[in-house]
Amino acid sequence: MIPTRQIEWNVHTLGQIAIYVLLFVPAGFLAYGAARRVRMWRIGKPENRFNEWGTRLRGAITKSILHGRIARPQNRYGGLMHLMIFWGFVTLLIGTIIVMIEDDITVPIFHFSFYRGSFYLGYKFVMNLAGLLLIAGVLMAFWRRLVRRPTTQETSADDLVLLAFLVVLTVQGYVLHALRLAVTQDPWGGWSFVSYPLSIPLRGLPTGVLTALHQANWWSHFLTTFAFLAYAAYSKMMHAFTSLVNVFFRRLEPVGRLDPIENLEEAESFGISRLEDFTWPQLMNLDACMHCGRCLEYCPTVATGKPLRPRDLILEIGGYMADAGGLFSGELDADANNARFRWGEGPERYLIGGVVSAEEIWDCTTCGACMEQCPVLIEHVPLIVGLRRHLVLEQGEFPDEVTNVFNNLERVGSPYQFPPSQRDAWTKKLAHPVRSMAEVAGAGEEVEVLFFVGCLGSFDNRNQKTTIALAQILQAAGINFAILGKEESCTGDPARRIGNEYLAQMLAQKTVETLNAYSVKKIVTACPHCFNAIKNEYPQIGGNYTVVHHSELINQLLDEGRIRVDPESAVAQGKVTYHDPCYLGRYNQVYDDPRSVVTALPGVEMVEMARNRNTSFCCGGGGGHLFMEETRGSRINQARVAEALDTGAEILAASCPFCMTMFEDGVTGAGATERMQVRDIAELIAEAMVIIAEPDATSAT
Amino acid sequence: MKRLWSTFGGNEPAGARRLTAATVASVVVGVLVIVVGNLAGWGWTRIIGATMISIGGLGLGIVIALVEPRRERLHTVIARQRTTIAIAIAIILVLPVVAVLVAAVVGLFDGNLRNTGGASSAGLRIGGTLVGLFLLVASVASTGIAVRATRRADRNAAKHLPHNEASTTPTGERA
Repeated sequence: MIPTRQIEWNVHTLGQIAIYVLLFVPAGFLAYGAARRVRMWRIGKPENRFNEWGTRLRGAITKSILHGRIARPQNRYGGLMHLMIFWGFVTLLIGTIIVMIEDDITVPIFHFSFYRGSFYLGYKFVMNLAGLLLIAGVLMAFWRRLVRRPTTQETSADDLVLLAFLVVLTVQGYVLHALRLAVTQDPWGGWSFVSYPLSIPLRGLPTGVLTALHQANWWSHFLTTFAFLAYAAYSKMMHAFTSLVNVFFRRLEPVGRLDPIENLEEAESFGISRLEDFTWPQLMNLDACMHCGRCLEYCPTVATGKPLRPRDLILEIGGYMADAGGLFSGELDADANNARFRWGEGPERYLIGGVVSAEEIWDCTTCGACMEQCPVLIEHVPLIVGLRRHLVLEQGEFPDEVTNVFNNLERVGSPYQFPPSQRDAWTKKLAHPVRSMAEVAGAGEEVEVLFFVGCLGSFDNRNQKTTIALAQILQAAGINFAILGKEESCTGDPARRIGNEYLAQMLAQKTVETLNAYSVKKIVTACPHCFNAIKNEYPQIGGNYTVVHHSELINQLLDEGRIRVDPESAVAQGKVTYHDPCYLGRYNQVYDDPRSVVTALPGVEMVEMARNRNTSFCCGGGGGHLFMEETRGSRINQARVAEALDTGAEILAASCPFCMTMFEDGVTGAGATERMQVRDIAELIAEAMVIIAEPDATSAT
Repeated sequence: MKRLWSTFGGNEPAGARRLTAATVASVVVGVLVIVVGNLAGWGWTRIIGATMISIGGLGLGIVIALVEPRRERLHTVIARQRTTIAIAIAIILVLPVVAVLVAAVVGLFDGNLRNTGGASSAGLRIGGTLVGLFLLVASVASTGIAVRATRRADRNAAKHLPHNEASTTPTGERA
């Protein structure tokens, strides 16, 4: 006797016909919902995301299907839960397709049956296991939503309806099989290790009752399946489609790169104020959000009680798009989430002011924590900068304190009011002079590296110490370098992140022209914001250079023995914690070099803050916030300093002038100046360094 | 999709009507193929009929989604009645499974078990009943939670959104 089963056992002709005839209902609902969404995405501006199909496909498989972005160390519970639900569901779906292939294709057309023997037994075992996985995952989800209730997660009716659908569908599958086994009593029933034991107590019922119950359950199972499919496109379940598509069409450019406004002089509108102003992938982003709230977990504005909550911003605009597109807005629930209530309020609202508040737009520090955490690669920061661009360039609305920043940038090429002639004032504090590129070019020479100092490193007293330290290191290592001096100006990063794209492009263009005029090939900088702009954004306007952050260069110099640390140095004895600057870590994946530099110091015990590397918590200075007042919520820099203090470290090491400024202020604000020093890694190395030889005459004259 | 849509004349009212007719025809022919095939005992027709019905259903959904203006009345009726519809469907669909699971649980206490095929050990029976109990609790509790949440959502929507109507065009203008 070969193990198998009769497909559509105990199903009458009407049922056999109905299951096919009614297919058009879920198909129609699914297609309607999907097409409606795609139609809305098409309102957006064009953007080429149809390149590099292989890379896109690989990413979609590893990040989504294999859960590379979903199941991560910082999301163990949620990741495991989703993994179980996803693979349980997919396995059962594949199982259903296998039955369909047997029953509708191979047997009737090719007279060949594979649904038997060992395959059948294995199939039964796997299907039972998949069902258990699915139910266990769903129960974990219920537990998380109704009992654990993480603060970043909100639960709507839709979430619970979907979970209930999954449980009921799976239970129906088990019950159907158990009813059949109770009647047929297959000798191999034990392979169905859930349905089989369930069939034992059912055997007490008369066969007529069992077959009647089987029929009723067969109908309810197939109708539940169809109802689920029809509902899917109007619920969060749509994320199975939208998130996969979103990951496939993800942005392949560096995460730290913002797209410029093309043809700025001829543009008729700037930034985002209507749905038509988004690009189509940005609109697709809105539908891809699965409301998981991971973007909230590391967001500095959420942690400090500010109005901006990245997920809600996406949901608000997504709800607005759904209203405009006539999609069922679905979720109208959750006690605390105002964003949800705005769904279904109709499209007769201004995007900025009516849907998204100006406070939300200005709160963002562009730290990228939301994008780093998002399992479906939603790009929050470019979207927020797009909204800022509209406010700044069209409405002339921005925080008052930014006015001076814009004026200074325009007038003297720096957020500060110092004249360019003072940019190299710090060089006078060095034992050995530093040449400018003009001097180098005048002498008909070339340099190995250009040291791009940056505005804070040039003018800010505290950060000048870092600049001097780095110059000392370069000189000690015998590196032939120069600076731009008074020819240097802001890279445009603060202006761009604040939304003044016009000013940003002007500054960037000026810098690129200067750099290209000197045929600069390699640049080192101590500022991650300058680093990111020059490395990732300047290629957009013809500035192609090898750019290294000072942490990378110092680590390389230490490795090569070109500089050496005094083993007796007491610069950093004891515990030291390192803060990952957002524009260096998350935006450019430089995590290990700064740590290697710190641990090169003798007597250092490196301790990590709770949030580190890609989960690092912003200092609060990015996105132009270094120059803005922090009027809402508590202070971000103090929150980070408190986290550093919790480690028991005496030194908070940083590698960014923005972070240095914010932390100096944060340590003072926290009243911890006696307990903690804020030091740049270059300062620590310069102080602990042994001068091996006098610098080469050509490197520093 | 736009090119495909234009190719089939979807941008013109007459073209949209033709597309609608074609998709409906696909569904109808598919249904006929299924019914005739089933009555005649031709298993091979099922995949053809199912494919035609699925393609017809998908096509119909897309055509309705892309043709303006939207069916606002239908949309509004469904939106307003969705809670009632959802709760009714939930209860109807979950009842049969509950009946079986209750029977399985009660079966433990039935001393007149029929032929159990050599599997009548107390352990298996208790195991089966426990499985039944677990599945029963899971399905009833999850459905109950979902129904309760849906009703609460409906109340909240009525409170916060007295004019819960959707628009008609993708750009936000009302038709």
